[in-house]
Amino acid sequence: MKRGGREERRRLRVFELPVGEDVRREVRFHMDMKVDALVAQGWPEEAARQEAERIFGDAATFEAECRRIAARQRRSVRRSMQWDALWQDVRFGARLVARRPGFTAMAVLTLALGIGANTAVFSVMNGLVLAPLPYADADRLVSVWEQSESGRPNRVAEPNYLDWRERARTIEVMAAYRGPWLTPVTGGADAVRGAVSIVTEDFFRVLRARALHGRLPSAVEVGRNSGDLVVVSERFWRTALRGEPDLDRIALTLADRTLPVAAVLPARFDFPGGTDVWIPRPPDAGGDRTSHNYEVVGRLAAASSLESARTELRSIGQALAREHAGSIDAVSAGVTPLGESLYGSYRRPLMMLLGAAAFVLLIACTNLASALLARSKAREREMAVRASVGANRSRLVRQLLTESLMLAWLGGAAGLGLAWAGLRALRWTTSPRVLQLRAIEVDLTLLLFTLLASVLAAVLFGLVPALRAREGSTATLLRSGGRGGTGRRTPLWDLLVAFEVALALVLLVSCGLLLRSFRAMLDVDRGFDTDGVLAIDVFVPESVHASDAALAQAQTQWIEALAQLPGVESAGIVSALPGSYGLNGGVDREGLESAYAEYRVASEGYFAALRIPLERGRLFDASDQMQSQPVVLVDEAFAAQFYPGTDPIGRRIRNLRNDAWHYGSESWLTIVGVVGSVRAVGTLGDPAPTVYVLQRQRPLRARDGVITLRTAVRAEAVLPGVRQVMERLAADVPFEIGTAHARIIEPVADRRFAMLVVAGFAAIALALAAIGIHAVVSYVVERRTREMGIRIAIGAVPAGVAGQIVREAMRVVGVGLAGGVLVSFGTARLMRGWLVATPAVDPSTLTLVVLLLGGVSLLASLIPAIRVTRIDPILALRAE
Amino acid sequence: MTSEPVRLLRGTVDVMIVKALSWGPLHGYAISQWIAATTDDAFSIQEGALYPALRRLEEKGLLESRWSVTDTGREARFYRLTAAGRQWLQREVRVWARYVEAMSRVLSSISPRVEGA
Repeated sequence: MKRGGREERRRLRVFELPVGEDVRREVRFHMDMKVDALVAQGWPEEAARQEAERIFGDAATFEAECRRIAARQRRSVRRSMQWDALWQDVRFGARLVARRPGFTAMAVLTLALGIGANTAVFSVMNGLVLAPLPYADADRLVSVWEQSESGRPNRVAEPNYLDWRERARTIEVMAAYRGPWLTPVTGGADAVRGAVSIVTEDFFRVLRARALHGRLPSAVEVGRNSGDLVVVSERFWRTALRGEPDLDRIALTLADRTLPVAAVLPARFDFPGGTDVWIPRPPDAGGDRTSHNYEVVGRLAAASSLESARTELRSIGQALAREHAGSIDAVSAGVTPLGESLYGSYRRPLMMLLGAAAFVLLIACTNLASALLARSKAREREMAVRASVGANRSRLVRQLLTESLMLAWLGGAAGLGLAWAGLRALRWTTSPRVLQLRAIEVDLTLLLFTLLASVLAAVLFGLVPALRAREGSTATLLRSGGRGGTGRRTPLWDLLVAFEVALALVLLVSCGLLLRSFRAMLDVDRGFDTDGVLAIDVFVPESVHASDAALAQAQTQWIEALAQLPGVESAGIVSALPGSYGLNGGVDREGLESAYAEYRVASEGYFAALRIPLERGRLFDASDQMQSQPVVLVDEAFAAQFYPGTDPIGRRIRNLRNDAWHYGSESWLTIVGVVGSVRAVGTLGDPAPTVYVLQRQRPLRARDGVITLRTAVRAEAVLPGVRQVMERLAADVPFEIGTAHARIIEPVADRRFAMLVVAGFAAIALALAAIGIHAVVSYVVERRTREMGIRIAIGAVPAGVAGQIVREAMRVVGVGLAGGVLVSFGTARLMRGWLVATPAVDPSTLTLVVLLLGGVSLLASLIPAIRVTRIDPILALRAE
Repeated sequence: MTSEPVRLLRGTVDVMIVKALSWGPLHGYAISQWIAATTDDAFSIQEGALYPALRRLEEKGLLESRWSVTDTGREARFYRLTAAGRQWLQREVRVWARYVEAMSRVLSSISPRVEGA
């Protein structure tokens, strides 16, 4: 009575009687005493009772009131007892958690992997898709685009933007922007590479930007001094400009012009993403309607809806197409919420990753459920004892759930840390655009998500053992001494293992399909070969080699010097690698309608370096010099589309739109050869018609170009030589060396990233499944040592006994594999849109995964099963 | 006669109960007999009214109770003061003393005038 829980038991005693009985008895006692007293005074029995009742008053009313008060009091006491009990559970749970550090560490780690995977994916998703853009009234911001004949959204030509701006009433204000691209920027002492974007005068008004320092230029000011000032990002200001507070003291030298810094934007203003320097300037009304160089952002007018803006822009776009028939290639115009147009494409892959992460968490929970089940068997005796001294079943279930919850929260906290560390590590190691688009931070939403995931996990893995604890019969458990006689696996256990295997299989199959799809994408014949090719990005400031002649000569000199290096097979330069954003626009054909093409500047060595084959005619050669007849190469797609059935060699084209303003649209370029078409990585459609202009004749567009080197030896071997040459010949030119392969697969970096993440998840799933199977089989072996010992003692072959255990385990694994294969058909269907050149149901992937998972499972059950062969029958029998 | 003094009685009964218990645990009947004897039955309280008062005091935490066996072998619900009940009684005693003193001065005064006015 004096020990712990005295308070609780004292309260319990009061409550032994139901309220009604308690009150009734108390009153009856009073009456009996009163009657006795009166009788002792000489009252007759009957009269005494009447007198007692008279003196007592209205017993029914008093009793009712007593019952009411007592019931109320009991309720409140019961509530406080529940809190006491919870606290007790927590303390008890904490003791258990602390007492079994091994188990706790295993559980927390398992959960941390599961919860961390979900948290990481969710945080990316939260940053990109769910959270609003960090601009005022961001839900009113829209992206406006041209619709090309193919029905696809396209970038915008300046004159179209100007017409939209003038005619649209549903969009209050609209700005065009392009970039960012990397350009050498000199700010103060150091030359750095800055990401520069060009924006129209209303840009900051559309986004309702406020300057952190300085003052944003008004539209009128921009109109007046076109392009005479810049706005910089907080990051650029802090790093490159060293946070100089007096903006009057800094100016940026950019494209050979020195521009004052008008304002610094706050850190969260990051649009277009990654921009360091914004150059506001009015749009050029004289451009043509097929040069799609801009993107357009607008703010919906107060009274208009997205739908009305869509309707209006569609009709404006169609009107423009009629009015400018022949000189316009857009058929209409479209409107999309800005967030969707920026990040909408990430929604699907992120959903897929979240799905994969959910699978990992499910496997982690399954693992823990079976581990807790094993432990609950070991604790059956403890539970039985507690039940026999008065703890009721629901109390025991609550105790178990409290423990699960504590584990889950520990796991959740660790998972949060793991996710955070993982995301940071990924940022360092790879450069997927997904992670760079927007800051990913731990915020309240994320914490709530983690909390929710933890609670869900706790319920998932804690409920099964808890409910089982409910079923057990106290008496039999006590009698068996808590040691299951045979310790056979229960059907529930089999179910958990099968479930776990099935989940792992689904994840592995998904991963396999993604891998295959990714390989298929890279393996498509792209018309070029980047194996063993180095890419040197050069950024020639306009102050260096200012004239075309000097630039062409310098470029040629570098290429020739690099080609001389031992180990280099061929060297060339190109304005942009396949898949990089290049120039495009309308092309006049002599005597024919105008055409439309991608536009590249290249030297002959480029085709050699990337092994782009010559199909007809000749490549550029030494006879093509700056002053000689202008020449051009076209690709097969161009030839097939614009000169079908005829030989394009000797035909002339001109007015390559982006070229015209610099070289004049009058000079015709003669087609001297047809080269193979190239496909950018990540695209599968027909290659875009492309023309190649000679670098020696049109060096300008290769000012920020890529020098490509094909090496006969390992790329690393020629790197020092390359550096030496560039530093000797181009000391004043920033450059960057990388492999062409890395540059080429940039467009699919996100895809690769998603694939790597799924692969990581699949690896975790495989490991967890193996651990789970290993744990269950180990436990079965441990429990059945005695039985095995007896069987071996009476002559069973140990290997045979071990084999039986493995067979039993593998039967369950087999069920899981079969179930997983069925489920994977469903999930593969969901992934179909994401797969390239890969069937959703792919027998070879399935076979491979089944073999892998089966093999790992076999190993995981074999290792503990082998222990059976080492059982000493005598020891085993004595152990009991 | 019953309705008018109730307002007074309720608080008064509480004090009497707590006072009765200040010497040790008692059951409801014993408390009622102590009150009747001590007051000469001046308030003529209905004995049953004692029980809701007891329950209420218990709910407030001034009393606690348990079933126990009396000297005559009957089972009865015994009440006893808690520490909080004891403190409450001390406060009430002071309040009552002031009340009684003030009232008795009022009722024993002989002049309508206030001295010094």
